Amino acid sequence: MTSETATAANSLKLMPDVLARVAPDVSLQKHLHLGLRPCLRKFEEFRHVTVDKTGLGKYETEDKNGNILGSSVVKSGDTIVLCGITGGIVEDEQEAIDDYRLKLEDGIISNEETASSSRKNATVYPVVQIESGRTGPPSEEEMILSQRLHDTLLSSGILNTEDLKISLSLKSRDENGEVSIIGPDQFEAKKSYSFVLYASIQVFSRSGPMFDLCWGSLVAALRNTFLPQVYVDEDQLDIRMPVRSKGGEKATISEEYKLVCDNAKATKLVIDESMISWSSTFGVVTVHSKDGDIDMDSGDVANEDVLLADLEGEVEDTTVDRRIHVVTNGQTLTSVTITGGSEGVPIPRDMIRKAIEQAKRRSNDLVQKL
Amino acid sequence: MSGTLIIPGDTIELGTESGETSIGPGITTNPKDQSIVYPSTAGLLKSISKRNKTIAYIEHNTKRYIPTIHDYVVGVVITVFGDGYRVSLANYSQPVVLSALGFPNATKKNRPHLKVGDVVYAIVSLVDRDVEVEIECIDPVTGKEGGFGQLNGGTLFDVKLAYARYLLFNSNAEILEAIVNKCQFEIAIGSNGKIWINTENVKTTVAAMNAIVESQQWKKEEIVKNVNKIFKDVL
Amino acid sequence: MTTSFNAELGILDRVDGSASYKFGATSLICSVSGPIEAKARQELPTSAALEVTIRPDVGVSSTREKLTEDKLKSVLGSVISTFLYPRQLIQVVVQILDAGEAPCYVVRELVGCINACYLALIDAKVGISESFYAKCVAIEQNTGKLILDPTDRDLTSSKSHHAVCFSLGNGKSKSLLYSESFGQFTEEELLKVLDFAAEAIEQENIGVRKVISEAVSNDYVWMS
Repeated sequence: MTSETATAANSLKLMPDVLARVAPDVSLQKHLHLGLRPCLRKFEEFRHVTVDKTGLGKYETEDKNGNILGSSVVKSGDTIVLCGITGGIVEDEQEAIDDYRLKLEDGIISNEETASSSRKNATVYPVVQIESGRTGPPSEEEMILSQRLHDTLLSSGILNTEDLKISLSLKSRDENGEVSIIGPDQFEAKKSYSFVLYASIQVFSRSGPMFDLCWGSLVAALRNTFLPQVYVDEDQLDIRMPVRSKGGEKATISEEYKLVCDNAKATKLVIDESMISWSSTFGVVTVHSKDGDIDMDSGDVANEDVLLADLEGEVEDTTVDRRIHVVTNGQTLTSVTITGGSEGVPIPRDMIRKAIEQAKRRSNDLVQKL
Repeated sequence: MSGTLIIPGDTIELGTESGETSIGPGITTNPKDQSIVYPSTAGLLKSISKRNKTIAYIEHNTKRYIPTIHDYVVGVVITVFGDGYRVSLANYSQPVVLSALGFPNATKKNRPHLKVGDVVYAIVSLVDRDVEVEIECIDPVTGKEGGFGQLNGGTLFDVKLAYARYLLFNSNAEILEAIVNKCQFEIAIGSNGKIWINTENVKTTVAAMNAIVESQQWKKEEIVKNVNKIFKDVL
Repeated sequence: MTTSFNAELGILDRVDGSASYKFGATSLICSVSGPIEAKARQELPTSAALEVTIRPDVGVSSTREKLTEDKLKSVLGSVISTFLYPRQLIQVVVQILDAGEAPCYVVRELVGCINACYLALIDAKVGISESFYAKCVAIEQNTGKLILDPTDRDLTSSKSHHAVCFSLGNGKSKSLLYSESFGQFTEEELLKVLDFAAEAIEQENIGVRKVISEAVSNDYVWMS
């Protein structure tokens, strides 16, 4: 099979880019035999990544009118990923507030289970957009990426529901119109609120699997996200509205809080620094022994599995099915996904070990940059 | 008649001592390496030896009928068009084409007149994944009618595909012998799981139909007793 | 051995293959239709196209199901002998009846989907190159003990959860088809989980084989 294609290629003399298009698997094997990948990197070589602030955030700039709470830009190769964090406020579920475990939280019950369940992991709701010149509903890849970011962040423990809770202050005016602010320690609101965070991630010039860079940009953006101070505006506190329902019973809707976000005062979003992680994707490819080619001194071992780090380009994207995907903070693993193995082409254990080791090294190197 | 259960992932023991072995339905080779032979479905492993050749296959019952060349089929005409008919072999599947010239001695002028809803017994004459499947009512060996053609009267019913194959290839199957003892009948069995049967009167037709349908769940030794009971209830 | 699952083949009349699968609080139904005619958009020149749809137990499907579909597709894509059905379509639909876990987890659901699909594919007699089976494992927060088939409660108190799918040859776990792990864990723990799951899959396969055997012999009652 391979020898046939090889002779055909010899007589046809296809240009590299044409071969890559018509027979990506042959193109990949040809490159691997040379000890290189189609992107001309070495097998286990990662691309350089730069992580920057964008200066777009509301609390990073002088312009206080925006609604971006945090942002980042990640560049790697030709690819640029922009991430902006925006937020909203939701009223906490009454059920959750009434939960006895939360009320008895402060050390009264020191059961492990209650401790872990009251400090739940939080997440953001990401929307990934891969710019490809098309319009319309999000593509399958975009939806899958968004959901994977959501799931991975949720289990990573980087964010915590407690840290998204809003401690309300009261903005009150006295008779003279003087504004005074009563802090959360003196003012207790009847309802509790939390921030909910959204991430809008834009990918420009996609080249290969995008999860790693999207994850990097999301974490980097969260690291410089600021949450505004929130006040209850006294003017609109405790409005009571009599409502007559159909049955003739009287009911009263009250406490329509008007929440105001401060344009200048904000606190940094608390994230668990120890859990900050980087994600690495590896491909596993079998390098076939060169049938037909007379190359005695290259010392090629027949059908050897190799690990390709940081997949890039169409050839690798379409032909490498076996993938190992590791999210780690350098010590512990947050998420490992192994896909694409099958009966004829399994994913060997040593490849998994090697991938994890490489991912840890990569993560130790990059987490500082975030 | 029974074989051993085999499921995908099991190793197939193909008898190599008896010379060549051909593989049939349910057994597949790896397209990259033809020497790897594996079972691709769960079923009963069977092998038939004939003159130094062995045919191994996995007997399995599918629900979807996939037309295969030279299959005997029973179909229902669902559309009549200029040059022929569109015939349904199985529900929820693509209909197949029966040409108006696909009958013995048919010419442009002298052709059978079938209506929508008519039942035909035919043989699959063309299977190609690029064009529609074709069937015809001509015996490929003799070029004559050979029992194919329109089926008048009687009734049409479905059985499991595996059971239909069994009855088709075993004309002395116990259930058919048991019905022979009860009444005279005409039967057309299609590999597509459809059976047409006709007897001298409606009552025996219904009884014969019920007997065949229910016999799928009978053990061999129960057949005669159950057939007697069904015929007694109807008559 | 006590069976930790309940499965039945051929429960739906109008599809080519179907199966119900229940383990613990999780239960689902899977149907397989195929090979059927593919839409022009899906058609592949040399192999069968695969369409996977997951319907959640509550509400309409969202990106959450899309991701699970993608995972399921990667498992099915590597086991179905798609070269047998060029330009055809294999349609797989999974209806979740009870997820058996909080919406923030998809591990029990995914394992259930894989196993239900395996049984439904066997029932549809769609060509597959090997048997496969999945199991979920959680690592307990304090003790580091491995819990097989964690319940919803086990999941919330665990430090990590894993879904592992292996192919089976002659009843033995062979190659790793899919594995996903979330939470906090070490490399050693991950490898331990893989071995643990492989063994559990072999154990349960005895019961699975029995279910298939019953279904096949049910098709051939007249032969006995």
